[in-house]
Amino acid sequence: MDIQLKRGLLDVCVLTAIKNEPSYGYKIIKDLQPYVVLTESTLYTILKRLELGKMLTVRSIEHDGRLRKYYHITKAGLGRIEDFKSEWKEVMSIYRFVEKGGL
Amino acid sequence: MTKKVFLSKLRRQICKLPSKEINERISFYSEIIDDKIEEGLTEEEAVADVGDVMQIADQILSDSNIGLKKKRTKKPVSAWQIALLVIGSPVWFSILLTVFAVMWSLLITVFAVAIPFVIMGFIGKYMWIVCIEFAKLSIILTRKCATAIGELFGR
Repeated sequence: MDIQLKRGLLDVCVLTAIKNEPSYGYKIIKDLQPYVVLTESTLYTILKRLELGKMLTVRSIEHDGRLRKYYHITKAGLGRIEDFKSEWKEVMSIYRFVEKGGL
Repeated sequence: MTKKVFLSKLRRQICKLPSKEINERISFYSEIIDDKIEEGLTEEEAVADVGDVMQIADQILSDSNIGLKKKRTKKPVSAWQIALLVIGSPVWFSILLTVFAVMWSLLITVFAVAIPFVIMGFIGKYMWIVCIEFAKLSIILTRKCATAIGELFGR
């Protein structure tokens, strides 16, 4: 798959995984497992990119005597998901055109 | 392999990266291994589940080639500084342009003020000579007239 396209898809997947409630690395990987297989290294890169883009914020919370990083979605992150949805309508109509094999 | 051994091996493999990133990466893996253990895996299984250290290190190094470039240059310029420079270009470029414009206009003003003085100075200098010449001429003319009149009446 095209790298830019894949990157965009993965960003939205991870944002969706933390949309309803803050989540942490291992849980994000597990939750996305049925849709996309992420390695820890890939997830780290995505989370870092989203953090730099202010799509999410990171908070360390003590859990069972150790620190666990929770990722919270921001307004910009929610906006990114909405943008994706509206962009995707366009992509779907292009897909239908391509699948049909022309006019 | 224990978690401790795994993490120290990983740290050695990615030691080329900036120390802040190394620590973040290590704590990221540490957290995930702990979470796997919490889910019921043994430490050994949890570490094995994460994958081969060398492969992970390779992926980390290729993922963060920005960090590598940062280490290679002697005086590191962070990606942020470059980004700021580029993003801020409309600002600093116009400021630079303004400074240039002000400097040039000052220079032009100084010249514009100085040049009339110089010109007037030259005119002033020559006017003095012209005046003296006129005075001389008028004296000569007066003398000529006087002698002419004297000759006329003397006769």
